[in-house]
Amino acid sequence: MALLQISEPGKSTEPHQRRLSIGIDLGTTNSLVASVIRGIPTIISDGDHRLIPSKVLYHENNVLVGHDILEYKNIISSIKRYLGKKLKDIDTRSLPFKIDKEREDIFIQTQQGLKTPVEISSEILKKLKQIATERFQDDIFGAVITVPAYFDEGQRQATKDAAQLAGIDVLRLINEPTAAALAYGLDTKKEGIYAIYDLGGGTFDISILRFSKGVFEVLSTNGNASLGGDDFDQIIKHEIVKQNSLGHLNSEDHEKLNNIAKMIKEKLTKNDSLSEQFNFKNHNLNVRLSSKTFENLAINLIDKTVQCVKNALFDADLNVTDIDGVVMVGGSTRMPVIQKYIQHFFKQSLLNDLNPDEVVAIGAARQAQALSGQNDDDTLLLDVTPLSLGIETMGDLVEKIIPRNSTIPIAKAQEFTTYKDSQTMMKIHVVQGEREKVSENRSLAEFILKDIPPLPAGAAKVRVTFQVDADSMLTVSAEELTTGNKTKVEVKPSYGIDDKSIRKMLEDSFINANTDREFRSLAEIVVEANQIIELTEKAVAIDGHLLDENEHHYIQKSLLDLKKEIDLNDPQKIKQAIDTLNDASTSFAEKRMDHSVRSALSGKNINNIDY
Amino acid sequence: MKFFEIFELKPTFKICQNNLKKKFLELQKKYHPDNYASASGHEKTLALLNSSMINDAFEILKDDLKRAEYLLKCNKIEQKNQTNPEFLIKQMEYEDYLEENSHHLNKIEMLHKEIAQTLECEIEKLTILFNQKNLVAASNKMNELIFLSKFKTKLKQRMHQII
Repeated sequence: MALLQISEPGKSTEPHQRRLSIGIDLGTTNSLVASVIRGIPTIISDGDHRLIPSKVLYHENNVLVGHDILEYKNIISSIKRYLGKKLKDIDTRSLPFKIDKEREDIFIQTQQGLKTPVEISSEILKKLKQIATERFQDDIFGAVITVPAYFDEGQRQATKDAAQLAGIDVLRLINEPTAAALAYGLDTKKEGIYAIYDLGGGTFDISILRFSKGVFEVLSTNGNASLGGDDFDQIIKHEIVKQNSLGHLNSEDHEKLNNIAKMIKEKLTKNDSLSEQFNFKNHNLNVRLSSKTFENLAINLIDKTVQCVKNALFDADLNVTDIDGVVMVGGSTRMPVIQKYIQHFFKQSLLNDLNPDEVVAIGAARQAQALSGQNDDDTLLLDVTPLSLGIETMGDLVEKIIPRNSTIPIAKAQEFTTYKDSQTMMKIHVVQGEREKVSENRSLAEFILKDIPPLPAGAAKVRVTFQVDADSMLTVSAEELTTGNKTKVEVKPSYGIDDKSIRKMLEDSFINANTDREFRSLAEIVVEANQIIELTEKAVAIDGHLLDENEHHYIQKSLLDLKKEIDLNDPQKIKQAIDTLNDASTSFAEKRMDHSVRSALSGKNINNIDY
Repeated sequence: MKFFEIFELKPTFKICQNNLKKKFLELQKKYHPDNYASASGHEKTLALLNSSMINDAFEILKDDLKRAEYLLKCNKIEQKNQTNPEFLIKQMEYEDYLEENSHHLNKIEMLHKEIAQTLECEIEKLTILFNQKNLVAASNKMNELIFLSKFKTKLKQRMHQII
């Protein structure tokens, strides 16, 4: 007898009321998807794999993501580094893929033509969404996606666009460190101030959070977008090259050495020293490395992270002794040398008992659950702006309107005036960053405010309002005040791709998805039809004598009809013709079965009767 | 006085920081957009505006100088952009001292301590002026206080750079 399920009073009950919400850690190297299952945040695995490599391969007719493609060439990896950036923002000398250098924006060459980082990221998100929908056999209500705390407006916007393109409703973007704090359930523990030390494959992030009275506040964030576990691999690689006096190396050699270095790094987390031979270009590479030597090599890198920690403490106006707990995030924090130095710096033991690769996704899943309105705990996240926002004034200078580390959401307005007599237009140039000169900051958007009444210089009044929402997304508006005529323009920061192109990409993706699906079903059904024709013809050739004249005619006609339909390319009609042929040959199949059994018994070679 | 009303506080210069913080968290738990993730577009916009205003008000009220400026503005007291000549000379002396000793951590630390004490003392005086409803005198003090506060931050930044 099946057991009847009874739910807890007041909790979400009936299946159709359940809202499937997921947490997504969209990582540079690996991505994860998690969801709260029966109250427990759980990583949703793809087969045996919990970590999904953030790698994408474009074939002519399809796109593959994750584990299945690791052996292929032309895989696109680390796309997160290029998300929300323009060509001029990146170093084009050592890219892992080919790009179109003629354009202002980043377009990557693939088998399916030029693709933007947003489109490529959306393929990873589609894969994660698919893993979740297949696991639960249900549609996704919404997702919380994590982003590094240092992500600027453009990068956040690009992440949201990628999600939209993947058909995912974003409940909230949250900062990765905040997600990690949620995973550790710091919100269920005593109130206090926590440091989140996050060293991933390619990035470092430090955030100082305070939890009090049910609210998580991010006090400050700092980090280095080009410092991560890979840099530790590099110092080991240099050591291998030095120890073995390796000369000229091509890119394949480097790749191989990178893998060896990574392996050594992982071994050194468990052993004090290592002395091993590795096969490299038909030679033996001898590597000897003690953890003490590695420590000496790594100290500069660790110091860089500590400097960021000091800056974050300074911004939060805190001392090391104010920190009540330190959470370790990111696979690279498994290195004992990191644990040792960070423990020493904070003068306390570290929170590191959860899998450092998974904490961010776990925390995102918890927040997704809370935001879909199914939680009884009511922890609130109060985030801050990672970078200052301002506008350009005369002389290449920035006037900051919302300073860094302001609690969000926030709206601020400031008044500006004209520079020349009878000036009727004003250029509003929105920038993000901490530098004083416009040219040294990140340009987010530019728009023109028109119809300012012609007045002497300094008489017109223009109020510029910045609104940052809880996702840290910015909207800027400007209005002219003197005449009471309000001209209002709203802009969303761009990263080179405007709203129109996004919409076009969206439409294209829907059209492609439809034609893709049709194409796939036609191809599949033609294969099926040809198989059945071949089998039937073979069977008639061998056992045709078992059929009476009517049966014979019926089968021949059905075969002919099916062949005609194949040429006409309509999957549904082909399917019907297959069904007709199947009907026609049912009794024939029975007779053949009967016959083959008798043939076998009479000593005929059964292998000749292949059906 | 809207900001004081939001936090159910009397519009006075001296306020209880604990009460302010407690009320702030209470309000954000109620109005933060995260609580309206699955609400209608209109409710979402309202939550965004409310939550933004709470953050803005909190940021101003929690800071002594910003709170003072806000009170003066609400009482329509114009702040003069003049500093008395005596203080201007003192200001220049401080700046010169920092420049001459920009690499001497000890000396900067000493100066930082001195400035912090002066600032504390001046804020005490400001509290008295506000209590006496002598808003014009309070307003005249603001320029000095703003300089001291900015200079204190500058010293702290310099100390951080040296370390």
